[in-house]
Amino acid sequence: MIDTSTPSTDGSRLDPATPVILRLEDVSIVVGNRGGDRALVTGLDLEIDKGEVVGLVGESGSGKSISALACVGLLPSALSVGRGRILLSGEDVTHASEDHWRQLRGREVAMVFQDPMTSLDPCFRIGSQIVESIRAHQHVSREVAAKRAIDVLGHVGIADPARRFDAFPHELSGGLRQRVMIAAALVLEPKVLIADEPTTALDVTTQASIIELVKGLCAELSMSVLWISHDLAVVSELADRVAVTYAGELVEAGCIREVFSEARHHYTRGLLESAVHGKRGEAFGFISGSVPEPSDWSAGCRFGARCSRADEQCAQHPAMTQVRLHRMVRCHHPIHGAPS
Amino acid sequence: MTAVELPQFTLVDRKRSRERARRVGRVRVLVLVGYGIIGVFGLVAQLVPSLEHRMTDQSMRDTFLPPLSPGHLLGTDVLGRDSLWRLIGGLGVSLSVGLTAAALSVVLGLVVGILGGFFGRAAEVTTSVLVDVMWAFPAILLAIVFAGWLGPGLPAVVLALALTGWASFARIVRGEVLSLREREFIAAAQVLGVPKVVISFRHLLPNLLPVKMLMSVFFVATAIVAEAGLSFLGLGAQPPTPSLGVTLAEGRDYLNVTWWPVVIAGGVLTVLVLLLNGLSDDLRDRFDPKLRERS
Amino acid sequence: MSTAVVADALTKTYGSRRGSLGRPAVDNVSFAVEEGETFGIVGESGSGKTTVSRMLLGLVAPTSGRAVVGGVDVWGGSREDRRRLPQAIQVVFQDPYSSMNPRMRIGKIIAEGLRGPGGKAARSGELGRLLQLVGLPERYAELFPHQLSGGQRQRVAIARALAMNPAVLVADEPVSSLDVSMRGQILNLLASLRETYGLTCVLISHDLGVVRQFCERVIVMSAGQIVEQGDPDEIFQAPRHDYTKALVASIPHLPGQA
Repeated sequence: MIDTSTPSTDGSRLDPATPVILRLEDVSIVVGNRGGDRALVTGLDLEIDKGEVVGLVGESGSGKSISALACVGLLPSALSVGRGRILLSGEDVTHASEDHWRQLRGREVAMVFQDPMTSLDPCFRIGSQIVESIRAHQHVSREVAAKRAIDVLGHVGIADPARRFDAFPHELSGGLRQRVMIAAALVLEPKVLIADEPTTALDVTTQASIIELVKGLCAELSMSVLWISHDLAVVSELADRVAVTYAGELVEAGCIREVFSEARHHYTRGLLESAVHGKRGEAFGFISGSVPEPSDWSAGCRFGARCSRADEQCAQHPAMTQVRLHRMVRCHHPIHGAPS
Repeated sequence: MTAVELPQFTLVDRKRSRERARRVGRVRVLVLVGYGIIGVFGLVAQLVPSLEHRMTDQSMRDTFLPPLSPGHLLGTDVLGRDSLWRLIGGLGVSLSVGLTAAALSVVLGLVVGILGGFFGRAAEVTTSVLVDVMWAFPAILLAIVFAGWLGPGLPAVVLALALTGWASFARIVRGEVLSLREREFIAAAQVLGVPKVVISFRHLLPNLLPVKMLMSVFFVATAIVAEAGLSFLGLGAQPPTPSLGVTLAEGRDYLNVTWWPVVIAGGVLTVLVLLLNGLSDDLRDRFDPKLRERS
Repeated sequence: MSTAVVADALTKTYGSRRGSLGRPAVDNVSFAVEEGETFGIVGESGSGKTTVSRMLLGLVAPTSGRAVVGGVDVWGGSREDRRRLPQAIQVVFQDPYSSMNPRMRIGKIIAEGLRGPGGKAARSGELGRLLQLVGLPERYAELFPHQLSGGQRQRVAIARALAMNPAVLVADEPVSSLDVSMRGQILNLLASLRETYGLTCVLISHDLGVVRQFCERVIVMSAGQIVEQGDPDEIFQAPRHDYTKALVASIPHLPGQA
């Protein structure tokens, strides 16, 4: 599957022989337990190599958040993985038991959420929460765990970590809280970090510092990151590759620079036009129409209703076309070349 | 990764327990409706002379008959009055007192709560003081005062209950209003120039509905018990008006002779209150998670 | 050209008479907006930008200072004067979910501020006109908010504001809660309505890119104070205050973007 003969021109920084840390094969997530009636995500294929940062971009209804939850075994009980496999470091964890997930979480895979206020227990000091997660996985004494926690708090750029160890969540600013979340996620040195809109609730200046932090940690620890966001600019600041999702499926993927400068899918183009700001007085870019509900997904191309290039062929559901390694697009009429 | 890693939305899988709760709930509502019907009947019966007689006809010959005696399904009391009819009448009294006191309380509580929460600092302070004063007043004391003023009887009881009950209700309503008033549609209405009174009716009141319903059911239960208690002490229903409390009081006096009246009246009262409390729990469950759950 | 909005030394300190809760939320903010101008207020959370807008709208009373909108002294004027405020200034809030009563139909929501002569027929005619103005079909008047998407709800919010025919429209983060691909629709709508009605627009946002494209003049707020003001392009390209410099530097860029 991985082509070892050509040099990597697709954005993955490392030697093609490096292991795949997280792989999703044709994953679909459905409502219900036995094969389910309604799908919220279909045919998701994703691969993250060791040390790579992959961005998962999409708006509401794209299914990106539940895909992330599936990768840490935290799908709400009303949802389940219908088809496909999720592999962590080669191990099939699609239907792993909760006990098994408890062992994997923190050591193999960790997750950081959007709102640090609801992720941290307001009744306990942050230090003890980190210690708790260390001791859930390793038999170390409180003192050793505390020291490790203070170390990692310093590592994520929290000044005076020994004092902050005893702080309560509400005593910290949003940015600091998010750093604490990242610290807690990293303390057991997981192979992959999944971050679901981690900076959306933060100020722009704080966001920039968190992005720098994650970039640095990723390089230093050779940790893979799956960064989920609706913000294309944020994703392009730190991701090597990007996957664009729309209405529960992957529509385009590839190296960041290439996808964003020569987007082939009409949705990606529209998204880019909406995100880029023009001169004063110019009209703002947008995509007409709105994202369909899962019950309204077309049997053909799900973006067809909003696409200016749609024709009769688009009544057929387009398959994913592989352009090169890691570069793919799901469209009957992909765009060629850069925008004019 | 325990405390640190809570997912942001949890659709709790309550399927089985929800079904069970629904079944229990249905039975409960059914029985309450039964009570309600009997209560309405008992109320009406007190106004219809031919039926009212059955509750008040005394018979010195047939005193303390046990249940299942011919003509008297639940026996008779100390004065030979039919126990079953007095029970029915008593339920009617409970219902009327409970609902009236609850209604008055709710209205008063809403008005004061909204005034205190929405109409500025002066109103807030005034209503706060008022609520705190009324909160401290025991219902019994007030009932005695009203009994002295209006004469002992049910009107005194209803008034006393309403005037002591609204305070806790007002406090809860004010809390809700304080959080509601931060909602942007209230701000939008203010910017549109809608007067505060209109906003109270159009926006606040409908959104206070869950709280209203919840509290009023709970309050009806409290009022019923309070009425029984006050009647037990002689301050409530005056003879010949039937009341569960009066039956209890009479039964207590003659406990050495027969234990039926106490058990029956007490049992009916207990079950009624349990059902009402259960109903208010159900209502709370139905309205709260809708606000907390994010889908 | 007259001045549509004047903010004169507006200050807001929270806390009781005995003690305040630290620094003021809004500290001596003064600015003026000309009639027909599009004005931007940029700041992050806690900068005081929302509090300033609420003082202009008559929702939050300033601790000191004056606000004059469309000739009406918002806080110092007489009662009759203040009754004219809804016709002078209206608002579109950020959250399309909480800015409408979920139990009211769209038609009632839009027409809420409308009163006065004309009766039902005139009012429903007006309602139709407003819905058309914001690009929604007339039958939407019968729907409830939860049946509409976020973008459609913002259109309803705009229609509601325009129903009062205001001179000044305040848009408080009008697109921040919407999907990226939908934001342009709402912003373009606001721009065209601004043209058609000669509205004075005050756009409040944390997004300097949007403000740059939409506004003629902007003030940058931080910790309750104005730290910089002027032409958005100039501020973006050559920020002078340290805070603005940090703000501009933190903005993430798409590859190949300035």
